[in-house]
Amino acid sequence: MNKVLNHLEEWLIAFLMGAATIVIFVAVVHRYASGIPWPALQDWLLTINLSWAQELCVYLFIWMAKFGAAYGVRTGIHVGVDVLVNRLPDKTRAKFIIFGLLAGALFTGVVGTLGANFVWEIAHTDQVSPDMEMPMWIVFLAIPCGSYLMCFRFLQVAWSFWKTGELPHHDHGHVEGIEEIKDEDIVPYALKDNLHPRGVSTGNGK
Amino acid sequence: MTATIIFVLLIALMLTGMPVSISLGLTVLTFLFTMTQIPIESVALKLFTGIERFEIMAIPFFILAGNFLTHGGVARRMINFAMSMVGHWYGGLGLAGVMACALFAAVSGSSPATVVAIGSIVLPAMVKAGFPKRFGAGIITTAGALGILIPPSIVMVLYSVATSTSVGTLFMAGVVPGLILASMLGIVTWYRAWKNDYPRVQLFQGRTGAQATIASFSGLLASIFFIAAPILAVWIALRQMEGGGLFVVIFGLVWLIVARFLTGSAFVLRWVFTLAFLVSPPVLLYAICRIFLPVSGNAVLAGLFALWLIAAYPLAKKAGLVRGIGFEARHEALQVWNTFWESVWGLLLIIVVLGGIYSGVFTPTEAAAMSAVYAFIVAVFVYKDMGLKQVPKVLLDSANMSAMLLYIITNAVLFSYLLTSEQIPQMLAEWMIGEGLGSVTFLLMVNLLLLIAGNVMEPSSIVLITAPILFPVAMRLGIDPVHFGILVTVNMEVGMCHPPVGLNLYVASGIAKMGITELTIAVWPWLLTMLVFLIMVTYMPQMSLWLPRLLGMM
Repeated sequence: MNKVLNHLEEWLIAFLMGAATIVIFVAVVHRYASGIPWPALQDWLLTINLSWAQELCVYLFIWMAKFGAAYGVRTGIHVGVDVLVNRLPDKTRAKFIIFGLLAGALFTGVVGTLGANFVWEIAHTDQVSPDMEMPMWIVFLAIPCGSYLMCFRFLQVAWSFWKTGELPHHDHGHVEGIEEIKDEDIVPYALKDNLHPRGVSTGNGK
Repeated sequence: MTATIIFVLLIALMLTGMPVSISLGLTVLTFLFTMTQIPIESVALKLFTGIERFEIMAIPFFILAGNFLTHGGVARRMINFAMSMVGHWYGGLGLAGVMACALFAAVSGSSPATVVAIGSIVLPAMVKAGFPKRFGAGIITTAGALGILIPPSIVMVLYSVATSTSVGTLFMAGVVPGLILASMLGIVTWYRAWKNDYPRVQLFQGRTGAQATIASFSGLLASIFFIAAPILAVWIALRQMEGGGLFVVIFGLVWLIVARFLTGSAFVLRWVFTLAFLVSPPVLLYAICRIFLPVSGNAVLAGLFALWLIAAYPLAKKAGLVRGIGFEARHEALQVWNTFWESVWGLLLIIVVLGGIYSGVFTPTEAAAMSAVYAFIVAVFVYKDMGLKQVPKVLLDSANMSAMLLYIITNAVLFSYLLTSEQIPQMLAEWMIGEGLGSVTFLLMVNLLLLIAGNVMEPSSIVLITAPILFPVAMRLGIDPVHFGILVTVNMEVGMCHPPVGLNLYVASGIAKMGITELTIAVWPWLLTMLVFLIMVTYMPQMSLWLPRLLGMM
């Protein structure tokens, strides 16, 4: 069940990213291609109206951002100020980490609820988006869905941290001697860089 | 009073180590629920529409483009090109690293990505060539920071989001400071290599650096000439025609593909080199005269040509460029020629992004999207260093990082809405002016504040939190918004290169397998250079404003 959700999440955000790129690319190419006086082709190109492309791109990215943020909780990419926390003894740090994760769950939960109300209200109006004339509540649905998913991820991470003392990290940079790391595995924002809290049971980042 | 509460709450929440985005959001929520009369519904909308702007979407596109380039073999070809250009000086590989970082920075908008792309190739090569590890790591950490100063730049997009400054102008303003910083880092590298007698590439015994430089520059000149001359000619012929611009672009693309096939032919080579040698120096000189001196006109151009034709032959003979004399020179020039044509698809992206934005063909966001598609095509179909199978992984990684940044932006927009509704920046401005503090003191304080912030936070969060507060004050004091943006960017660069928080430092330590403490010591000569550069940028606004003014963008 959880695995299905994970895959769905990954596929969704990767797809949204690619789709938004293609949409803008096609719109730009279309804009200039329809300026060339090809015989017949130009008339056909001019009948296609792509003025909604920007709007669609923005909405695709809003969806990508909301679900991507939830995915980011699972991969531990969200940056924080962890200089102080990382110097604390393990036990105190664990408390701070749990506090931080629960605060995250609280915030996303509140935002999700606010968002759900908002969507509910908008669904009863006939607000549509300016270019595509899509009902706005569908667009804004990203907020409650994404936020609740993020809330769930925070709780999940908090739970597994409580159980095992480990935080999600692809911390390749400091695994010494066990396996040769490939350099393309070094992902900025995913290192032990004091922008993320350290887990506890793992001690010196084994 | 409210201001104090807001900031104390924000700082307290951030220090617990929770994500910056969550601390920002919680601060705003707490404030809304307890201390204000603003109805929560009116803010609810803000919560959702915070990132609903097309300009912000440049960020995910630039991240995607950068990831394709990092995995796509563009970096390796740029390093080879840089190596053939500057490898013959002292500390050759190190200098090539700086130059490759500057080139890669011109196609990528992020510093850590630049460090990964260039560092993972240059560092092992440097160790193999006999450089001390810390020398290489120091160079790559600091030169990688150029990523956010040389356009495109994610930090500049964030600044423009926070302050509504034009992204295109900011990008152009970053070019000159970026080149100056790259040269300064290069000079430090060269000096340290020269003092410690580090290895350099000497293909031929007894050949001086000056001779090799002339030869490699003529190679570069010939390469650019071969691309640009036909396109320029077509442009001059067609510029009056309606729709001519588009035709020139199409011709340019076709010409590039054709030219790529011709580069191996000895006949083409001989003629291109000769023509380039005869034509380009006077044209270049004339262009420089047009920009810097109040002289222009065909007479000047003709005069320069005449002078050059007289001087060309003796010079060529001296540099060993004349046929039959210089095997060495021809070898060096050819190496530049070959590596240039290898990396030309990567280098072209610089023109797509900057030229596209400047000429008004693309908006910055569109340019970012085009560069992502372009980078994808180059990585998968032209260089073939990346299979189609890796594409979903690249998309997912880019989405992950962009979502993190977009999430901070959403909450930062909310936070800055709170600041504005409480009139905090205005109060700060009133206070500064009441105290009689001028722009000199203000800029000094901004630098200190940002440097301190750079000790604990990551650049995007710093820009998004501090810019809305500091920007109105800067405006009141009559500081140029673009200059202020460049200053903020350079501060972020410095912050990325020193502990306890410094993304470049951590990425470099991952590549070099060096401890942070050792790396910190390794970095200091270049870091000091960057601080000197920061002072220059702060108090010499002309440096950043010169190019955008010249181009008539402001």
